[in-house]
Amino acid sequence: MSDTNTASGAFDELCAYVGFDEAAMARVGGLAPALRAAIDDIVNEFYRALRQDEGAVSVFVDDAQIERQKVHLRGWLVSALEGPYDDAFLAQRARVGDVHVRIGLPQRYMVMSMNVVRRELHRAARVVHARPEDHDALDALCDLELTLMLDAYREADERKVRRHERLAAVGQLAATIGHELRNPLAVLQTSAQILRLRAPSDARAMKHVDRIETQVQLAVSIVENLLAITRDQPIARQPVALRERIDALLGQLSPPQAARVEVRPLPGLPANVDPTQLGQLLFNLVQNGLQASARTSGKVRVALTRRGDALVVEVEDEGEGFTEEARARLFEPLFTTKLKGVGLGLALCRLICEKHGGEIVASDAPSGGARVVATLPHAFEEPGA
Amino acid sequence: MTRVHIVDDNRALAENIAELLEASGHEVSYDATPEDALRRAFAEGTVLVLDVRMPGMDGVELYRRLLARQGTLRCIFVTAYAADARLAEARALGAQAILPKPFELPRLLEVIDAADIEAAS
Repeated sequence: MSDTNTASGAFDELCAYVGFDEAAMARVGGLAPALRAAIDDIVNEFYRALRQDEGAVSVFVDDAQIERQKVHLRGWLVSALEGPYDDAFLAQRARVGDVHVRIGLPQRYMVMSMNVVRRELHRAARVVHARPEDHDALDALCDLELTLMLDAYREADERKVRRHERLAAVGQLAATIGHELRNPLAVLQTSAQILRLRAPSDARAMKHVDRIETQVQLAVSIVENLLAITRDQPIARQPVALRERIDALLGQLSPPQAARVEVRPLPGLPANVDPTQLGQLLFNLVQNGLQASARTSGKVRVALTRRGDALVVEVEDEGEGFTEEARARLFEPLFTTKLKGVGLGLALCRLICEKHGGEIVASDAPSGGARVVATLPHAFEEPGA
Repeated sequence: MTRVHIVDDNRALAENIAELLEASGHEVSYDATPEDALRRAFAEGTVLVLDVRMPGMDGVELYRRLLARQGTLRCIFVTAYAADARLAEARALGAQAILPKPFELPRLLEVIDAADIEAAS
């Protein structure tokens, strides 16, 4: 084998485990020219099979996207057949796997797709009268690829477990501190209220009372987020009038802030979700949007729509958007892109979405700002359905 | 006008609540320990505003003892621990309301008025 066909220990071990040894690599290499000629047929058959599966079709929405995917699949097949099977090969597989996880491709569709590739490779090999050992080598290669793809899903699960452990460890102490802060906050708040009563004609003093009250409110919302995360209460679904929820949200904001929030028309039907948690979700997303676009005094657009049985909450701001690195870690507890911020808001939002059986995704808005889309399934189910 | 008696081991908070309620036209007294509160006799119609977690004796226990002594006393609990297991007992004893700290003055006035209306009816 050439020097380029080398990789780190773990990868070697994996190759040995699935039987993709140097002999198998050589056999696949020998078949490569013949199979390369069949790649277009394999790619077309792959997407034909995929289109027959309703669930998979919903992941790959439009033809343009499928054309782009075909290019990727061709490249992936060429590198599978020709190698070199080195660290770059491994890294590229890990990237593809991460994309699958990130776009929410269910694991079973990934396995099904890998089976289509396997079947079509065998079919192409039979056309050129490949030997049984060649078919075995192709199987070993497909096993290797499948294992690498499954690894991406396993790693995503492990990240999830680590996240939960981290939360639990932070949780107990943080909850105690959160509770204990409520007493001094209550003193501050009542003192501000007393000042408001005693010196109502002193406009400059009142400006500071306003500031104290706003900041106390901010501190209270931090404590509330902290306690909501650590308490991790199960959801209690009930019909929620969305208009009332939005009005309550706008009432929580100061008038200049509320004026920057643009609400799209709402579904008339009540949504069957946890009202408190929907409130927390909206408040945190809008608050983030307002902070992100504070410098430009830009708008924050809120859209609540019905998609199938799901309530979809979209919040877009006119800030600077997310960096690639930030987007990957945005929903981790204690991660923040703000100079001042604890990093609990979006973590709480994700927790709320997950408890509703949904998800939350961040992307760039057309305006260049940030867009966060939260999906809460089963919000509009027909009774008895 | 309602007679209100506050018990909170955070004296600053007890004083602040007292001042705000007085400014709203109520007649207010307060203690910073449950023991001090036990030495008092409360006039008919008094509404208690009790902190839950206090050293020595918690607000729920204080309310239980005061009730044992004088059958009817209305009570609002204020607490920094909104998920406290003790709150179930507070409700069982007949607490009128439980407010998480910090709270806005209008909210407190509202529950005091509600407690008063209930007493009158």
